[in-house]
Amino acid sequence: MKHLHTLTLACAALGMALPAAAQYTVKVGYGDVRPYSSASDVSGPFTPAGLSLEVHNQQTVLFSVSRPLNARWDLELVLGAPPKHDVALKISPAAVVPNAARALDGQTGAQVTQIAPTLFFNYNFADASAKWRPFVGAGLNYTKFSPADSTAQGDALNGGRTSLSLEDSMGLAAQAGVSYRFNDKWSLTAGVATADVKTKLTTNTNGIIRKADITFHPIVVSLMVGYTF
Amino acid sequence: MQRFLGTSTALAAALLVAACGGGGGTPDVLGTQNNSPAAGDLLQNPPPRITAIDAAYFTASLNASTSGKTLLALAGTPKCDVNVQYIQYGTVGGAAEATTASGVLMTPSGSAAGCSGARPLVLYAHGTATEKRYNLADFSDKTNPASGEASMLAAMYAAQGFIVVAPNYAGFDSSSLGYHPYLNAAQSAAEMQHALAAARKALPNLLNSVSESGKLFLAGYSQGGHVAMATHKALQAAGVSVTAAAPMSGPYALSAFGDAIFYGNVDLGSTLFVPMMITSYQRAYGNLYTQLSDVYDPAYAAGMDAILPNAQPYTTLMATGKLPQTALFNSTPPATAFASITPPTGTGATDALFKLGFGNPSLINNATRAAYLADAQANPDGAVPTTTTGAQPTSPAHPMRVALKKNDLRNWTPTRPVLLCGGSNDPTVFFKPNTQLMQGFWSAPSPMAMGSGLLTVLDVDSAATGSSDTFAAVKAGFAQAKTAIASAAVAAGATDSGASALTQAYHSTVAPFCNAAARGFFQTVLAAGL
Repeated sequence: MKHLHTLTLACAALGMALPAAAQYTVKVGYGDVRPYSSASDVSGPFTPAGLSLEVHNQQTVLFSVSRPLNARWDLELVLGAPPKHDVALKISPAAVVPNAARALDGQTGAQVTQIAPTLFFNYNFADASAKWRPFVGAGLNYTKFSPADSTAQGDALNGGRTSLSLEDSMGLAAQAGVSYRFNDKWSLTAGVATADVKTKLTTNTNGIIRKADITFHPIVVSLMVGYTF
Repeated sequence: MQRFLGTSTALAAALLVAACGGGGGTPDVLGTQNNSPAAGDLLQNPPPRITAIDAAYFTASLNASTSGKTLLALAGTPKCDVNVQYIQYGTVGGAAEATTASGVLMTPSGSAAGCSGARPLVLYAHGTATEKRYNLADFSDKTNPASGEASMLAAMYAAQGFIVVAPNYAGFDSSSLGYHPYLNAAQSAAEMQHALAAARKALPNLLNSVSESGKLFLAGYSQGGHVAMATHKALQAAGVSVTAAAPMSGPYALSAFGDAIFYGNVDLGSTLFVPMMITSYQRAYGNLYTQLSDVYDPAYAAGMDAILPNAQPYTTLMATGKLPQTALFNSTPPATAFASITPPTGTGATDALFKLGFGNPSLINNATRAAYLADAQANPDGAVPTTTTGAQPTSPAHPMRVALKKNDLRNWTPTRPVLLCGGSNDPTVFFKPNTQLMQGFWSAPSPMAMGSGLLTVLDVDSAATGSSDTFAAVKAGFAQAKTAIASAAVAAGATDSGASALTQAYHSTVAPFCNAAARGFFQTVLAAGL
């Protein structure tokens, strides 16, 4: 609830009225999302040790809208067209599982779509008129994992049709990058961003509830074209 | 311009706030879920599959242990992959109360011949368990007390193309019943039918769906032998077709067995069986005692109605003094008239066994033993202490003997092939007052004799009758197993030629051999198109 409050205030800040000279920059471009997930073993009834998962990379279209707060600081909201990530099954060599189950190691057990709006306060190392404008930013990421669907391989390992649910994540985010200003209106921005993302996965296979904790140290590399107005 | 900007940022804000709502974390329920299922209905349909054991993996894992190798030799190399499903279903308790219980549904699959399509089904009843967590479906935990019996079922039946349905019994695992209706014929027959009905509802919905060929076999070991026979009786009475049955090492003639025990022929395991039986019958009939100290020695009375099944293994209960190891009756005779059976002597090799059944303090108090024996003498069983009619007692009066007679199975005749298997020197479930007595009851000139050729009786602890003995291999295997147990005991320092070790292991050692014989019996019935 506290997080929601903070975010609402930030959202309101974005819509704050400013002198007529205020400028908005809208960016759109390419994002390469590498989740670098680290998951605990899946736990639950009838679940042998050594079963885990890994979230694979995905690419997407990124959007952002930003507004300067003063000559050097700006506020930026970044969103992506929600990418759908393959989640691979990881079966440890020490896991005591039949051959049929072991054959599923490395296969896609689920597909998870994530929407991860992130709000940054960016510090720019040059004024808005400069050709090159490096920046660093810190902020807040909110990630929602939905929809999350099991695959036939996931069902086979779990022992039946499986439904999934992942908890939302709220965490700190950071980014760094550089913008190149073509003219008053057009720019190109390259950046690298990361965030503190974690979730709890819960699966339900015909009444068997299994859980896993997943931590991410994602790296998002982006290249976006900006339009300032 | 400003209004447009204001609107778009407000929209972005609204989107963000909307996205902020909802925490996630509860996955949908797929399939049908009913937490209070009617008798014979599943709690969860389809049921979850706990594991899918491919034939090659099963063979390798059996080869990895001594007991596994023995089972592999008896059951044969697994031919089919085995899918293990965990079923939970509605059923009834010993007083017809609505409850739930759990069990296992094993289904074969794979490309080998006889592993798919329409398969015969074995409805199996397991032997006495004392740990609440007993679960035949828990293949993920080798320490589960059901693990050995579950492996046997998978290797002997499922891996050879049979569907297996086996309840854990009400009172065990996730069952909502607070006790176990032990040796309650009506309840166990009802539960077996509920487990079968529930399993049948699951069959079309499984990941590897399988169908039944229509051939239904009943089997069960020890307590399960009684359950299997009671189930056969109930199904036959209901007009349901049973292809064949193989009750094994079971306490079928409970009046005779009970009387034999009270006459001092105390069986191994009695201090576990008797409290479970008393609790079961008290729950069903309400008249075995007014308070626990009526039947139990004060040293053990408190809580005896709730001690089994237990979260702890029975060895811990005995080590902590909650149950006596073997002392069922008091070593002081309840009356001078009973001195010669406190304990009985002159019985030969069983003298040592029966002596263990007496001590001080004992589980059952002398007042109870005296009252029971008085009724046994006034209203005797037709087989104990001497064979007269071979039938149940006509009019028992003691509530315990009345209860035993209600659950004694000398009161019907099967009309389909039956294999009665056991070991003649079984110290846990005596062969003579149970298997042998049923054999006499179901053979000419008994008025309750079965049709010609329908009854087969196998004592695995006997010599092969000749080259045409179908069970020669099973008998030879059992003889070998006995020798191995005795040799291992002697090698570990035993000075009694391993006799004590053999006594302890006998009842469980017979089990896989009888099951191998049962499977052969079922396959013969199938081949003969009976």
